[in-house]
Amino acid sequence: MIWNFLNITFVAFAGLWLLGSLVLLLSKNNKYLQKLPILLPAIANVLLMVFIVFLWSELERPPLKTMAETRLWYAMFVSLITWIIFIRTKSKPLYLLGFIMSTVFLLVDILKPEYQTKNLMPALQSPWFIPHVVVYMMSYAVLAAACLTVLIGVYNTRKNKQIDTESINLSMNLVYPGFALLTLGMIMGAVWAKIAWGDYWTWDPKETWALLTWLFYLICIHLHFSFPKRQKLLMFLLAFSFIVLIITWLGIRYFPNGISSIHVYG
Amino acid sequence: MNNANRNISLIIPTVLIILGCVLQFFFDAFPLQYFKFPINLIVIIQLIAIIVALYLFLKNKKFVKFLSSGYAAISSISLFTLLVTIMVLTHQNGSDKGIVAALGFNNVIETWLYAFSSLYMLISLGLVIMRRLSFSNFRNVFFFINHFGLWLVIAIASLGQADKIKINLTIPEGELIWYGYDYNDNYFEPDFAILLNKFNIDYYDTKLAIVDDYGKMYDAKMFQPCEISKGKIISFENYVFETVNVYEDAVIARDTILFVKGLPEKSIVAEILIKNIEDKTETKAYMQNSTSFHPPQPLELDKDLHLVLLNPEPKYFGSEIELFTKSGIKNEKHKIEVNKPLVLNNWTIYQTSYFKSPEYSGFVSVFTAVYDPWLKSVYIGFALIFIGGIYLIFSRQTKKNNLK
Repeated sequence: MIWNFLNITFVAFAGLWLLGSLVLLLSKNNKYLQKLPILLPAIANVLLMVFIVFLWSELERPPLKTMAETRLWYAMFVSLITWIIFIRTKSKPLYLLGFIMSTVFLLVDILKPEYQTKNLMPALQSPWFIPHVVVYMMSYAVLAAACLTVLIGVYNTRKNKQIDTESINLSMNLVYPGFALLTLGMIMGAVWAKIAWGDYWTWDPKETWALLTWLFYLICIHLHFSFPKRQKLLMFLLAFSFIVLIITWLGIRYFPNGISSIHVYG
Repeated sequence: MNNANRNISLIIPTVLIILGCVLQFFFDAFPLQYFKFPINLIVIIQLIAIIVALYLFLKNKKFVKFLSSGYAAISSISLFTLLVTIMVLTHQNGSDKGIVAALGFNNVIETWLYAFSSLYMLISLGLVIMRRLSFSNFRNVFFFINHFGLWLVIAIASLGQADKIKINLTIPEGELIWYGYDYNDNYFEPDFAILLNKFNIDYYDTKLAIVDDYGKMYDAKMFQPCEISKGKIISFENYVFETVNVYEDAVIARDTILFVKGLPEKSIVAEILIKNIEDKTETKAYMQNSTSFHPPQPLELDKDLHLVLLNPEPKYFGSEIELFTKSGIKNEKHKIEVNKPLVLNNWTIYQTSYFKSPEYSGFVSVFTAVYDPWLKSVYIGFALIFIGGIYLIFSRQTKKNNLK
């Protein structure tokens, strides 16, 4: 089955990114070599996309049901977004962090593969299923890039004893679309829940955590908009908001009422 | 001014927390049930009138300026965030006791503090909308769309809640039911009745899985459960499993397969040929899935591993119904399926679940009927936030100079 090809895909994906990173770090003033850090991750991303397409075809349903499947999409989006930002900003630290993050999520899938079933329960057989999950995964990936950028900002601030405004700006430029995608994903989920179960909001633990994530980013946006000088607080909040996001996605089952969520799966 | 605003932004949530907790302690939950139509509509209109009046007549007063400032925005969102944090960290089913229950933290959305927090957010949000009410550029237009959408959702979803009715109707095949029960098991008669003509269900093929002695699924990396059908061949290490036949509505009784109609659950028997490639042996045996009236019949693969038949999962279920309205004249035939509810004025009827009971020969279908007259207004709010969200994706918000 196609899932067994994940190992090979992972080796190729990580290998291409690693090679790109090495060239980025070691090559100097060679204009041909300098194109490789852009070209190699692009190939890596295409490979991962092809794997997802084959998996979709084999499962005869969108591979968005289990945690392992969502991690695949996440790795792909993080990789893609890192690549796009690198083309625009040439930020080497972000390139490396994006590579590490997407590779780690793929590695988790290899170490902890999940039962891949073709079956889709009737409630998931909805036109809202794909946009809801894909938009969420895109949002999580964009906000991951925002978090990585702010971590670079924290490092630079400590190193240079001066606030790294450039990183904060870049991070916030990612937070706005990331937050917007989070909002769209939440609304699509609410409309779908209404059609499937009769309530657009039930305060299910996953929904409540998702709202908490949304609220933290909402505070970040208002802080940035109204108090542009409170940059240290903003940096802290951006990093903390991403922790809340990760708990929402991967960690709610470890909280008292999390296990009762209808969203605990995989 | 900044220090004063900062202090007010801390004082208001503190006062609301103290007031909310005291009221909760002495009067129990916030009486949302009294806010039924038309009271909720009157409250919403009054709220709008107060916000508009505050802006028009008192906009230069310090307190009103504060309420429409970034301080109030962050202060009100933070208070709400605090409540949501309590919700994610505690059980919200009302089960906890002691101080958590006394302060209503085991059911936050019914507390006075939640009501105050929502009100604080609505007033602050409303005044911000008024302050920025200008359609001179795209940014202001989308600012209005975003914020007004959110205002609408918070106001309507909170105050409209009192008018919402949600009941479950449990209907056996061939029967007419005109009543249901709400979440607290209260009897309720909606203005329609449902006759369940037929319940349809379709299953996915059953699956063959490998479990250990404790029933734990074998490592997914080594073996993934496979759907089986006649002639299907599955390989695992030095074994090959060939499905000779699959029998539906069947049970294993000693050495015989019995076919039984009208079983309450899907009961499957599979005839499997197990070939061991290493020692070139072949074993043919019958296996059965687990049902509430019949234990599973697995096959031993080796001393630690067993071959089991998983219960087939439902692929589709839906009901063919006839709907009778209270006027008594209209009866219409409809299909209600998961994700395809039936809309009847302000009622929406959902296919929720099903079961089989020894009392009835056919299936019993479970419907959920929801009466929500405010739904369209909430959807308008959703639509506005959605449009605002699309704008936010493509707009560049960060000004390069505002951080310097």
